[in-house]
Amino acid sequence: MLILLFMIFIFLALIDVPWLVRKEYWWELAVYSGLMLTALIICVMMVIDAPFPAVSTEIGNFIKSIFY
Amino acid sequence: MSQLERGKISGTQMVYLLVSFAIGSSIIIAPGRGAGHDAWFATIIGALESMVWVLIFTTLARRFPDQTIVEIMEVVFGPFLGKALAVCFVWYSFHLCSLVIGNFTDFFTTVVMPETPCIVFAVSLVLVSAFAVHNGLEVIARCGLVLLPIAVFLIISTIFLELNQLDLKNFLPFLETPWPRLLKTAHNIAVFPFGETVIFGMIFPYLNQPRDGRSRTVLGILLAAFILTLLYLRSIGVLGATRSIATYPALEAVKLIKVPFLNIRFEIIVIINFLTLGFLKITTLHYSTVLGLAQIFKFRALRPLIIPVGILTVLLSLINFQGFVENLEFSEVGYPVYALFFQLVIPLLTLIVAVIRKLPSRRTGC
Repeated sequence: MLILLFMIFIFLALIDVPWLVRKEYWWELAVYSGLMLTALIICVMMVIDAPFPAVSTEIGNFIKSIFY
Repeated sequence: MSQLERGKISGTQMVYLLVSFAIGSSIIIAPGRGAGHDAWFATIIGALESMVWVLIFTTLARRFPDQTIVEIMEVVFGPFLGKALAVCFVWYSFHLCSLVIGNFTDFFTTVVMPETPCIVFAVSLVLVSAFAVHNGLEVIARCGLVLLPIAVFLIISTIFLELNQLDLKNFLPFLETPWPRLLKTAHNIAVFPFGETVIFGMIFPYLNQPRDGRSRTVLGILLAAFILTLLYLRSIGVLGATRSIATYPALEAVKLIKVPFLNIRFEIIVIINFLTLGFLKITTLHYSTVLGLAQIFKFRALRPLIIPVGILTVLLSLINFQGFVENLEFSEVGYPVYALFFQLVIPLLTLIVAVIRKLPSRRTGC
């Protein structure tokens, strides 16, 4: 499953990275790489069943603690 | 004005897009639950309340006709605080997109294909949305021109097909809901879905006539309120008290359509409407997130952000809630307060500071 995940991300990177390199958009490439790396890390954590906080539930609990 | 988007859309296209956006997920997620059979009345009050917020963000847009709301924040508050508030606004667009995708996948895995993993629906939808965003705002707006009339025609058709099943007694007694609960529900409706049109602050500069933004937004919200009121009238008239226990009242109402000699499951109409209008809402939010981030990071093109934002939106939609009950609770309790910060507080604060600082300056135009 992890190998499939990495293959998918490599495929997705092949869509945009050559274009960014050709255009010499280095800043855009750096931000793109950062975002894709973040997405990859989250995907890997999901594949290995790492626990995640339920984001909107936590926001809701925070609001309830202040306003209700 | 930013050169990230070269397309221009007409006022009519914006109205179509805004109506699709406003009723996109409201077709199945009924925000007027708290008001019972007075939900249709709460919708009208909610639409009127949202006009106050429309006035605020459209006034801001008129002061800075060539700039998106993200650019306006940087001009008004300076590079640091402005960027921080811009990031907050883009986070709202991103989070809202993931919530709508979550509603979409919940609906399809509950009603249509229970055995299919929800990630399949999320990825399929975001792939199409990414393709639309890649093609630009004009393409997204043209999709609205085609898809909204089909959806409205289908909605009106279902209403006509169910006219013989409407029971007017289901609307009585009128205004039985206590006023505090009615007004609270009206406020919830003002926040979701009408207040979410603040996202169109990212689209006003790309109108052919940017100063038409306010009139088009008001017209769009009024049309959306009319359609939503019709939907509530249909489901209340047909379902009555059982509406409050239905997870998807629109679907339950349409299931009762019976046409002689035709053995058709009319639920497909609700599914088609949600698919098309939900797609438009998700695409608009995806576009606004990508555009906002590109302006914050001073990108020269939108393309590098489309795929990463799409992936992150899908991932967030999977981890937003642990269950449907939490989703319902957030939409009833947390979201009306949470969204107010982005829909009302940030634009109002930006407008007040812009007025105090007399921006835009006549000398520099920024």
